[in-house]
Amino acid sequence: MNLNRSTMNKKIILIVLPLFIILHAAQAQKRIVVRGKVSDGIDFLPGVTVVELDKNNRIAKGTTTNIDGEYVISLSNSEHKLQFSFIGYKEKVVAVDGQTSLNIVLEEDVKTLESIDIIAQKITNTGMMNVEDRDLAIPVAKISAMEFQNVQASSIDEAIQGRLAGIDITSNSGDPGAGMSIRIRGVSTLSANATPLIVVDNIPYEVSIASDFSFSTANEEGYSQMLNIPVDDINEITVLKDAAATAMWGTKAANGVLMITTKRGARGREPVISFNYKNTYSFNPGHIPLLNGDQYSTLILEAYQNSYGVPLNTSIRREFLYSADDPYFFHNYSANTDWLEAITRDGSTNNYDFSITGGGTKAFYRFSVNYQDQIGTTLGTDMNRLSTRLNLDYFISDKLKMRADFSIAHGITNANYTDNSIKSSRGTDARSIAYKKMPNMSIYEFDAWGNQTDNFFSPESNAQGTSPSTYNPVAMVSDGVNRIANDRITTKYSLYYDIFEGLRYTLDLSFDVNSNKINRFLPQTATGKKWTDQWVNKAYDFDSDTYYLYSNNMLSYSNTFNEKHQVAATLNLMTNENIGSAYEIWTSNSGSSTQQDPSNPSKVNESGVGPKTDLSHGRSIGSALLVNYIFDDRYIINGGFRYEGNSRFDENNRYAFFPSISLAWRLSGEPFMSSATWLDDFRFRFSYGENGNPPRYEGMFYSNINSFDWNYMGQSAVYPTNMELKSLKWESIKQTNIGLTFELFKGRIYAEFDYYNNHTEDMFGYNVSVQSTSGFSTNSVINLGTMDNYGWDMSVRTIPVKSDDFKMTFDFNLARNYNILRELADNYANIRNETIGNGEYQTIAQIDNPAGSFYGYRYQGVYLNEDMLIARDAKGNKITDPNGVEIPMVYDYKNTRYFFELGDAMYEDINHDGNINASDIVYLGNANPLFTGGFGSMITWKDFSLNTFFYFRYGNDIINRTRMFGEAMYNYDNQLASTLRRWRKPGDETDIPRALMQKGYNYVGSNRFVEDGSFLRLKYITLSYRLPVKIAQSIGFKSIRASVTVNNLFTFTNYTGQDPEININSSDAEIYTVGYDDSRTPRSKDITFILAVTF
Amino acid sequence: MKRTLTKIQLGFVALILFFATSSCNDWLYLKPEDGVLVDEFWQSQADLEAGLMGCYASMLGNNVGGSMSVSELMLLWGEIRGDMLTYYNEQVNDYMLVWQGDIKPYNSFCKWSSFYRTINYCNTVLEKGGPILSLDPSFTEDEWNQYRAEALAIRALMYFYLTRVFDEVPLVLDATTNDLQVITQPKASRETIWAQIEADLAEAEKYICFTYNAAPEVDKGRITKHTVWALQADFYLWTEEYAKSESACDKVIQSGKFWLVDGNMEWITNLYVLGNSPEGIFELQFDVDILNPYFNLFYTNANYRAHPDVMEYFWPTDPYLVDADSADIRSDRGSYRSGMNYAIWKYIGRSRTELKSPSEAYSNFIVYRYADILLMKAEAIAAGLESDDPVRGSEALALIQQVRRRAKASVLTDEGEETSKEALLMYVLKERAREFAFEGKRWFDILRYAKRDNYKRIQTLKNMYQLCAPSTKLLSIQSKLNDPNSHYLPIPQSDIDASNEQLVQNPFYEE
Repeated sequence: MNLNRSTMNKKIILIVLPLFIILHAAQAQKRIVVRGKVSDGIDFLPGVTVVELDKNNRIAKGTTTNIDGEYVISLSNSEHKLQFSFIGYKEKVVAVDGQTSLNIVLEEDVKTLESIDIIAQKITNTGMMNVEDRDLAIPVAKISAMEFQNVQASSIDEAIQGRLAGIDITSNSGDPGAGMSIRIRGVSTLSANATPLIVVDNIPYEVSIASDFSFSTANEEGYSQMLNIPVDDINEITVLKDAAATAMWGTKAANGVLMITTKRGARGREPVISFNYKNTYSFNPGHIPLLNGDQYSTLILEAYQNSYGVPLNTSIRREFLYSADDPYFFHNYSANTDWLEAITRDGSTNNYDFSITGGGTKAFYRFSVNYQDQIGTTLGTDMNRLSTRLNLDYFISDKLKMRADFSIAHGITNANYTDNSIKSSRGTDARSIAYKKMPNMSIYEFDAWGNQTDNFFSPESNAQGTSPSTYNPVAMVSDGVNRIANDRITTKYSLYYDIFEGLRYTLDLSFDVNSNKINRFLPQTATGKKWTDQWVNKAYDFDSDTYYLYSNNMLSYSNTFNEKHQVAATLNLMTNENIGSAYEIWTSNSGSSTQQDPSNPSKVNESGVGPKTDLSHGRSIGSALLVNYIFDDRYIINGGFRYEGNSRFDENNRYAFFPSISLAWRLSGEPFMSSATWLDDFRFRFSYGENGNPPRYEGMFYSNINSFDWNYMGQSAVYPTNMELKSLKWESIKQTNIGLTFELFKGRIYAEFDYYNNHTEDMFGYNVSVQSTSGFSTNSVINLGTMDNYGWDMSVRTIPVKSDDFKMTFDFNLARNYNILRELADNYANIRNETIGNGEYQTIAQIDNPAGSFYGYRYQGVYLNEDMLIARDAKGNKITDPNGVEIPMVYDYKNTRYFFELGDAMYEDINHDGNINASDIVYLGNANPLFTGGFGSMITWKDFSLNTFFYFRYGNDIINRTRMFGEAMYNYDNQLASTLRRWRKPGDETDIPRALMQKGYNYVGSNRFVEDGSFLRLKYITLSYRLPVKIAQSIGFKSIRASVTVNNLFTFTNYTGQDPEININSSDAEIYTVGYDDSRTPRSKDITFILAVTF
Repeated sequence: MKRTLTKIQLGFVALILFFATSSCNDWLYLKPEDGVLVDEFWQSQADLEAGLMGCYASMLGNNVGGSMSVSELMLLWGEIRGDMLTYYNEQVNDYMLVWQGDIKPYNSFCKWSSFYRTINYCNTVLEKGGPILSLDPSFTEDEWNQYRAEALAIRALMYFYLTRVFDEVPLVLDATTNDLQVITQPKASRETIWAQIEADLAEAEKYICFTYNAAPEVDKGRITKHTVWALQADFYLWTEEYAKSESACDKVIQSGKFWLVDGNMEWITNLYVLGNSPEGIFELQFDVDILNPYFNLFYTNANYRAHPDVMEYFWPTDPYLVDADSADIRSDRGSYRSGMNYAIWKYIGRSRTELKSPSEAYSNFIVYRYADILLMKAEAIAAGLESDDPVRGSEALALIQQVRRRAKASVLTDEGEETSKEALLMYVLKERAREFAFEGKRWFDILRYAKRDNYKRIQTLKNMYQLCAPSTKLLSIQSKLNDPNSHYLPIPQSDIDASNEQLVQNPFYEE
C-alpha cells in the first residue's frame, strides 16, 4: 500500500516539476544598474517602494528610497520595468529600456470615482471552463448570495430550498444539525445515495465520513455535519443538472453537481469589514392532540374487554387499578401527563459573522469567522459551531498565480440518545416514545406514601413492556447523552500558469481532514432496567478520522480565431483518495448515571459491549478531455470523454468510459433576427451524456474471513462474512436534455425550459434480500435493474416593475419528474408482504410504474350493523352456502379466518367473494409529486425591501403512519385524541373502528391512512431596511442593514400529519417505504432578526 | 528562448497524456485491512479446524439480523406450537399470532436463515477441506475424514430440524461464496431430503471418532459417533423405520458411556446448570463469552412461561404427598416454578431454589441425552409392533419406568403395566412431555405420534389444544389441523420474494 501511495506521489511530483523548469527558462541575461530620485513634484519622497518587474509583472527584486528620495537598483534584465509605489500616491510603472538614470514624480491619489459601471456578461463556472451564461448548452440553475442574504438558514441547503428548478430539498428532521436530503431531478437510483456531488471552490467536498463504516448510524451523523459552511461565506451556488454538464466531475457527479463558490477578496480594494448578527426564535410547534391519562385508561379497558371477552385483570395490571388501597400504583399511574409537552420547548439560534475583505495589486484576501449556537425544540438538542475561512490569492506575475484557501470548523451537536436499538427509523427516538407513552404515568416517581420524589419514574416493565420500546422520555432527554464533536480542516492549494496566451496549466491540491467524536450515554434512570442488565448505563465513545486527498492537473486552452471561431479545450487528470479509521467502544453498567464516560469502571468483556475498529481506504482516478467550440457566436458544440477507474470494483469492471456531447443554437444571433431588438438571447440546447456511480462501499469483491466474537470450547471459530461480488458493474446513467433559454427586454424576462430523460442502467440495490438458503440473508449491493427519470423543469425570472425608487421582481420555478421502473433483476424481490398484516402495506416494485406506489385495501368505514356483516356478490345480493345460510364476511379465510364483528374496520371486497384477502388489494396512491416548485417576489422601495418566497409540492400522497399507529388501538400505546370518536357500542355512527387489544385487523394498510401530501408553504417573508449611505457614512459606517424574517409562517395543506414536507426517500433506505411519514420534529415557525454592518 | 519553451510545453502535454492513459490498476487495487481474505485462508489444518469450529459457534448466537439463532429456534420450534409453553405478557406479537393459530409467512418464527447459514458454513468446510490435503503436508487423510464427518453430521442435524418444521425445503449442498453462483433454490422433495440426511449420517458414522481424547466436555460439545447414533435413532423414528431406530439406540446403550444423572436435589444443577453430565450426549456449549438466549427469553424479557393448566395435567397435585421435595423432580422447581408465575425454571434456576444471575446464563442447550435414547427406544419398540406383544411391550415399559424411577414420578401419572401398542405409545408421549419439558421436543413428539400410520392418531394432536389454545380460536385451530400441510410452518415470505418464483409456498399457506 505504501508502495502504491509513493508511486502516486511521484506522479504528482513529475507533473509539478516541469512547471518550475518553465519558470526558470524564462530568465534572461542583460544586467543593468538604475538609479534616480523620487519626488511628488515639490518634495523628495523617502520610503518609496521600488521594485523590478519582469515581463510577466513578476516581482524580481525590490528596494526603497532613502531619506533624500534616492534609490539604486540592479536589474537582471534591461527589458524589465520598475514599479514605484507609496501610500497616498498613485502607483507608477516605468519601462527601463536601457536607461540607467530615472527620476520619477508620483501623483497624489485623489479618489474621484466611487464606482464604475462594469459591463460584462455573466460567467458560469462549470468547474473546468468558464463559459459565458449565454453560451451554455447545458442545463444549469444558479442562485447568488443576494438572494438569501436575509434568510435565516444554518446551512446552504436550507437557504436554497425551493429556489432552484428541479431541485427538491427536504429536511431530514427539525432537529439542529440534522441535515437535508437533496435530489436533483428526482431519484435516478433506488439506492439511498442519490445526493449530488458538492463542489466548493472547484474542489469536491466529501460529505460522508468513512463511507463504508459499518455501524449503521455513522452515516447520519456524518451527514448532519454536511455543508458546514456558513451561509454568509457563499457567493454563488450553481447546480449542474445533466451528464454533459457534469462530465468534468466524473462519476461522483452522476446525481448532479452543486457548485458553491465562496466569497473572495478583490484586487485593489481597501479593507472592508463586515459584521452580521442574526437571532432566530423558533416557536415550539406543538403536537397532534393525544389522549390524556383518564381517556387512555378507558380505552385500554375497553380494548381488552372487546378482545378477550373478560375485563382486564387489574390485580395483575395494577397500572389500571386506580385504587387508593394500592398507593404506589395509585399515585404513579393516575396522572394526566402530556409527555410531548414535557420534552419540547421553544428554540433559538444566534449567529455571528465577521469578515474582512480586501486586496492590493499582488494579493487579495478574505477572512471570515462565524459562530453559531442553536437550541432545538426538543429538550437536549442543541448545536454550537465555530468556523473560520481564509481565502488568499497571490499574483506572482501576470502569468503565474497561486491561491490558498483554509477553512476550519469546529462543531458540537447534542442530540437525543440513539443507538442501533433506539433509533428514529424504528420509532424509538424520544419523540416517538413520548407519543405512545402511557399518559397515566407520572414523570417523577411517587413513593408508597404518595409523596413525589426527585427520581424519574422508570419502571423496568409495565403494560407497555420494557425499554427500548418504552422508556421515560423526559429522563432520556435530560440524562441521556449523544454528543457529536466534529472538526473539519480543509485546505486547498492551487497554482495557475499561463504557458502562453490561451493555454493555461492548473494544479489543484486539497487536503481535507474530518474528525468526528461521538459520546453517548444511556442512563438507567430512563430505562429502569435492573442494575445487572447490559442496558444499564451503556456508554459509548466513537472516534473517526477521515483524510481526503484530491489532486487535479489540468491543461486548458481557449482562443478565438478570425473573430468567428471560439475554441476552448481542457484535459485533466484527477485523483481522489480517502483513508478512514474509526474506533468505538461500548461499555455498560457503570456505577451511576453520572458516570457517563466509558473510561469509568464498567463492563467491557461481554458480548454486545467492547471495542471495535474499522478501517477504510478508497481511491479513484479519472481523466477527461472536453472541447467547446463556438462558431460565429451562434452555433455551440461541446464534447467530452471521460475515463474513470475506481478501487471499489473487481478488476474486470474497474474502469469505465463516459462520453458526452451538447449542442446549442442561438437563434437570436442569426442575422434575420437582428431586427428583434427586444430579444436579448434566444437559445436552443441539446445535450446527451453518460455517467456512472460506483457502489458505496470499498472491498466488496473480496470475501472476508472473520472470527466470531466467541470461541467454541476454547477454540477459535471463523466464518466467511460476505459473498464475493464478482459480477458487480458500474451503475450507468444516460442523460438526455432538450432545453430552451430566452431573455427579453434587457433582462426583464428570463426563462429556461428543459425536458430531460435520465436512463439508469444496472442500478444499484443495497442490502438486497437474497434467498437465505444461500447462507446469506442479504447481498450488500447488486445491479438490480433499470429506471427512467424523465420530466421537465422550468424557471422564470421577471422584473415587472423597475423605476428609480421602486423595483419588483417575480421569480418562479416548477418541475415535474416521472420516475419509472423499467427492469428488475431476476433475483430481486419485486413484491413484499404479499399478504399484509396490521400496520403494513403491500409493497410492489412494478415494471413500467413509478417507484413509490402504495397498495392496500380500500377502507369503507366501520361495520355498523349486522346486515353489513353478510357477504355480498357483485350484484349486491347476499351470498349463501348450499344450505341457504348466509355467509358472513371473513378476513383471510384460508389462514386467519377472522370473522368480522360490529365495530370492525370494513374493507372493500373487490372480488365479491366475502373474503378479504390479498386479492382485494388495490393501488392506493403514489409518493411522487406531480409538481414541485416555488415562487417568490422581491419588492424594493427606496431603502426598504420585502422578500417573500413560497414553496410547494402538489399531487403526492403520504402514508401517515403517525396516524396509522396512533389510531390502531391494538396495544398499550397511547393514541391520538381522534380515537375518542371510536366505535363503542351498536348504534354508534363513526368512521373509526373499535379498540381491539392484540386482535383483529383494524389497521391493515388501507387508503384510510393514505393522504394527499400537497402543500403550499410561505417559506419566508423578509422585510429589510438599509440606512441611506450618506447617513451611514456620517456615523462612520459604509452600510447598515437591518431585517426581520419569518420562516414557515403558514402552510396550506389538507395533510393531517405533523408536516407534509416529509423526507423524500425512506428512512430505511428502501425503495419500498418511500413516502412514509413517521412522527418527527415538525418544522417550527421561526422569526429572525438580522443586523448587518460594514465599515 | 521561445523554442525551448515550446519543447517543454510539448513535453508537459505528453506527460499528462501519458498519465491519463496509462493503467493505474495497481494503484486502484486495495485490500481490506480488517479481515483475512478467503484466498489467503483455507491453507492449513488449523484454518480448517477454525472453520469447523465456526459451524458449531454459528449455532450459538446470531450475528446476522432477521432470524433467531439456531439454539433459540431449536428450543422454540419444538415448543411454540406445543401445549406446554404460553405467553407471559403480550409482547411477542409473532408468538401471540402462533398461539391464536394465526401463522403467516411473514411471522418471524418462520425465518430459517440461521439454519442455512450454518449449513453454508458446513458446505464451505466440505468444499475447502479437500484441497488443503495437498497444501498442508501434516494434514492427513484420516484427519480430513474426521472433519468431514463432523461437518456432514451438523448439516444433517440442520436439515433434520428443517424438514420436521417445514417438511420440504431447499436442499443446498454446495457452498455459496460469490454472487455468480446460483443463489435461488427450489424446494427438494421430502424423500430427497430424507435420503440426503440418511446418507450424510451414514457417511459420518463411518469416519467419526468415539472420543476426541481431550477435556471430557469436548466429547459432549463436538459430534461423536454416539451423537450420530442418537441422531439416527431420532431420524428413523421420524421416517418410521423403527428397527433401524432401535438398533441405533442399542448402540448408544451398549457403549456403556452414558447413564442417568441421579434424581436427587442436585438433579437440576448437575444435568442442566453445570451441564456435560454423564447423561449428556450432545450439548451446545455456551460460556461467559456467549451467553445462552434462554435466560432473556424466560426471565429478563419474560416473554414466555409454562401453561399452568398443562403443568397441572402432566404433574397433577398429589394431596397425599409427604413434602414438596418428594414430588416428581421434573415438576414444580424442576421444569417450572409455580411461585414465580410459572416461569420456566429449567433455564433460569441455579438450583431448585435459587435464581441465576444474568451473567451466569451460560448453561448448555442439550440436544440429545441418555434419557432421550431410552425413551426413543421405547417408542421404537412400541411403534414397531405389528400387534400387541407382551414381551416386547414389557421391554418398552421397563425403559419408560427406568426414566420415571429416576424422576420420582408420581403414582398419579403411572399408567400401570399395560403393554398394548396404543397404551405404550401414549405413555411414551406423555413421559417425554414430562422428561423433556421445554427442551424443544414437545411439538415434534406429538406430531410424530399423530402422523404415524397415516395420521391415524391426529385426534390427539387436535385435543392437545383444548387446554392451551384461546377458547375463541380453538375450533378454527382444530379445523386447520385437518390439513397435514398445516402441521408445517410456512416458507418465510422474504425467501419466497427473493427466489424469483423458484421457491413455492407450503400449499396450506398459499393465497
